[in-house]
Order: sequence, then C-alpha cells, then structure tokens
Amino acid sequence: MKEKNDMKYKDALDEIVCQVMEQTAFVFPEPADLSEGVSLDEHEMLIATLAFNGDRDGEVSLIAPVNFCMELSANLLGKDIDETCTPEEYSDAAKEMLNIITGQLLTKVFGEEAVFNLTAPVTKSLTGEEMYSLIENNVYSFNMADEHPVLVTLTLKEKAHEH
Amino acid sequence: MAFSILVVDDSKTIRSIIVKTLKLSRLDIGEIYEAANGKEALQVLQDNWIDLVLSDLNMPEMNGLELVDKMTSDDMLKSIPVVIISTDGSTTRIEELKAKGIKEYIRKPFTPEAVGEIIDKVMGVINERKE
Repeated sequence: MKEKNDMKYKDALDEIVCQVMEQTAFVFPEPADLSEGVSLDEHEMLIATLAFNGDRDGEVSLIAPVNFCMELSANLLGKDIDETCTPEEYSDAAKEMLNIITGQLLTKVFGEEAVFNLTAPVTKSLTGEEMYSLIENNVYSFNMADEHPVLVTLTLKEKAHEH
Repeated sequence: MAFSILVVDDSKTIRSIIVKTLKLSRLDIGEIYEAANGKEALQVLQDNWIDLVLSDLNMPEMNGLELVDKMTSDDMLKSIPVVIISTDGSTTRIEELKAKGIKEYIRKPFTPEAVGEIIDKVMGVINERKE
C-alpha cells in the first residue's frame, strides 16, 4: 500500500509542480530522470522548506539552483532577467513558489475538506550531498526547467493507522 | 469612485504581483497600501481610509484569521470588506473564514481577471470601470 500511495503522491507532485510553475512564473518544467547523468554538484543550490500539519503532517521542499530562483523572481516581478535580483528577492520567489505548490498538492492528495496549517517557508543553501540524502527516502518530482534542475520533495510522517 | 486598497502579505513578491494585478484590472483605484502582516495592517487601517483589504492567511506576527477577528471586533473597522488571497484550498477552512465575515476568497495562483471580477463583486461595482 505504501508503494501505491507513493506513486499517487509522486504523480500529483509531478502534475502540480509543472502546472504551478507554468501558471505563476511562465517557466515550463519537463519531468526528467535523476539517474540519467544530470549533475547537480555544479550548481549553487537553494532549498526552500515548509512544514504542514493537520489531517497529515509532513514537509515539502523546493530545491533549485540560485540562477533558476533568480529567473523565477524576474518572471514573477515582471523584471528583465538581466536586472539585478537581490538574495531577498530570489529567496522570496522560491518560498512563494513552494507555498503555492504545497497548497495545491495538499488539496489534490488529501481532498478539499482536509485542513492543514502551514509554517512559514525558510530557505538555505544546500550541498549536492545533502540533496541526495534528502531524496533517498522521500517522494520527489525531478524536472528540468530552462536547463536548470528543479526538485520538489514530499516527506510524510507515518500515520499509526496507515496500511 | 476610486477605491483605496490595503494589500497584506508577508511576501514582498506576492504584494508586488497583487499591486500589478490591481493596476492591470482597470478598476478605479486610488491609493494602494501594503503591510507585511496583520499587525502592520491594523496600523495602516488606523492611519488611513481603506475601502477594501486583500489579505493572505499565513503570516508571521499576526495571521489573516487574527486580522479578521480584530477587524470584526472593532466598530470602526468591521464594515471594511476583507478578501482573503491564499494558497489554502480547503473548503472547510474557506467556510470557517466566510462564517467569520470575509467577503470572498481567491486561491493562488490567480489571474488578473479573477481578482478584478471578485473586487467588482465585493465592492458592488459592475459597470464603473475606467475607459
């Protein structure tokens, strides 16, 4: 049952990540395979994370290169991509993208009546090694967007009665 | 009549998007004020004439729900319509907010058209657009 649920969560994650990024920031991610030689170590990566609690408890993280977060910020703010983007602006863009993805994901996976409280997203830089350990035991959606690797992970805390 | 609108969201990015959306909507808008949380919003409400509040739910210091509670318990503020703009899609939560007195709920991501239509509806203005 866990594997079946994981597939359900992954399908939902794949769909929501693409949909939200297209609608919100006009970037078009394409699902990709992490095992197909995509190198993540060469990028300066940023991770945005928020926790949710309610009908289920867990965390969602968005991991992407800083350059991609700058592109997100420029698109969201309607700026030219060459215009200077401050760390505050690109972190804020990553946080808001994560917020919207999480809101859509929770409704899609757990239904419209489920109630969740979300914590404020936080960002920090991330090494390639830390990132690989994050995806090891979690459901994730890996995409390439404008040649940038973009990863979204879902961590669910086990429920006592889940079969 | 031009509306004065207060936009409340802890994300500067989202406030910028909402302000831009309001300007694109061709509504007759006067001043647009911004606040990063419910506490700042209350200060703006005390200092300025505001016709409509557009607020996020999840914010530090004072969230959108607490802001609505404070406004509805204040004789000067309780008649100001509040529209919540949030990522939360729970129908249970939306019903709870409507029971507390919010006028409408807009879910992120949103389009400028959706925001314009809802503000028209809330402010009772159908044909008073500019141009």
